[in-house]
Amino acid sequence: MDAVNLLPVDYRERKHKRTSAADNLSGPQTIRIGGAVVGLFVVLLGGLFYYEHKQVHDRQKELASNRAQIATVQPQVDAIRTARAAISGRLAVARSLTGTRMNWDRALNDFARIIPTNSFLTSIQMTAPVTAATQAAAATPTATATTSADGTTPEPATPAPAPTVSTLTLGGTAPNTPGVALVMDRLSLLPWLSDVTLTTATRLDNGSNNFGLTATVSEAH
Amino acid sequence: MTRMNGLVGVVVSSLAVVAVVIVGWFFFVSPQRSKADRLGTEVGAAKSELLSDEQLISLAKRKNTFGSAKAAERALPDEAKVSEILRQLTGFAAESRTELDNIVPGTPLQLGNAQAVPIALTFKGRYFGLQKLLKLLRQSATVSGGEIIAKGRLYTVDGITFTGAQAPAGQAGSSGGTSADIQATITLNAFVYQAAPPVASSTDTTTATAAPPTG
Repeated sequence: MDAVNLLPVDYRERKHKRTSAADNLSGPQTIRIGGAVVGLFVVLLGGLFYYEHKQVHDRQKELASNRAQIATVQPQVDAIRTARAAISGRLAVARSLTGTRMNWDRALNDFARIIPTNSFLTSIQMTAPVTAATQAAAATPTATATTSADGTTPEPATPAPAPTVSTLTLGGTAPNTPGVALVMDRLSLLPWLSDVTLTTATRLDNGSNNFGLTATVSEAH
Repeated sequence: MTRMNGLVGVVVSSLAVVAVVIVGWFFFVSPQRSKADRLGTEVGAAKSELLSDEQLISLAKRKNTFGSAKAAERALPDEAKVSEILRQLTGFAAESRTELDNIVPGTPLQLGNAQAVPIALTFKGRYFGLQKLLKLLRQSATVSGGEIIAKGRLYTVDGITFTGAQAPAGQAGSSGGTSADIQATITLNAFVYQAAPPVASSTDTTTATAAPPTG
């Protein structure tokens, strides 16, 4: 038995067609909606562009301002850096020199107090690790600080191996040999001197003794 | 026909939106954003540099860096400035009431970053005058608390040789409390800050005679 389609004739064809949302839109309407969406995005992107452009502008202004401030202080900064460089180099040299420099005024004061009145010193030489005398002695072993200036060019880049302690060399005269011993004993009492050693004691015609002593100077002096 | 137009409208609209987004983002927004980011980094760096500079200036004012630099240059100048040494030694002699009869600068010697100018002084005066003179030489420049304190040049004394003369031999040396004059040769060094190795010249040696005693 054949099926009977009871739908009106106008609706019979529509039933066979598949429908979608687009079927209900007309072209101009879709274009209008699309245009609106495009416009919305254009506005949105325009806003973003404006925001980012403003950011760029603000940061450029800020950067220019900061750079101007930097340029203003730059001469001062350069001067400070130059001063610091000058200080640091000189400070290292000064530290090295003063660290091994003997306190001569204190030494003379101590010698005046402890050396017997009938004895006296004729020479006092200090050999410090970094003094010119050491360098000169390294260059010309037989010369002293003042006599080593012989016009020869020293080796600037190869400093002599520095001794770890400073040495004091004393020369003097005592009334007799026990007098020399007494000078040595008295010098040993000084807290900043150690290892007082006799290098020479020569008896003169008048009975007095010329002596030579060496001693180690402590770093704390 | 109606159906085709709708689809075309959707496709065209979608394409238009995508095109607007792509063009707007990649050609307008994104470059500005990148530029803003780059500028932000530069601003950060500039601010950091400015802050660092300001801190440096503030610290320099607090620590008196320029004063310290001047003191350092006073103690260790770039040039020998022997005239300055002469003036200082004369001043020290006057202050210690001693006489410096002879001042002989020697040939400079290189000591690392410094050049030592050996000077031989012929001294005449009291024992404690000599002591005062040596104290003044020592206090002319010192290092304290990590900075150079300098009223004058930095000096180191290598040795003292007593030559005796006017005083009896037994009093010329170090025996205490003598009131007699003694003569001594003091070997000291003044220093020049100089990193480059010098060329030694025998013509540098000059002799100066000190002014009369000031009492």
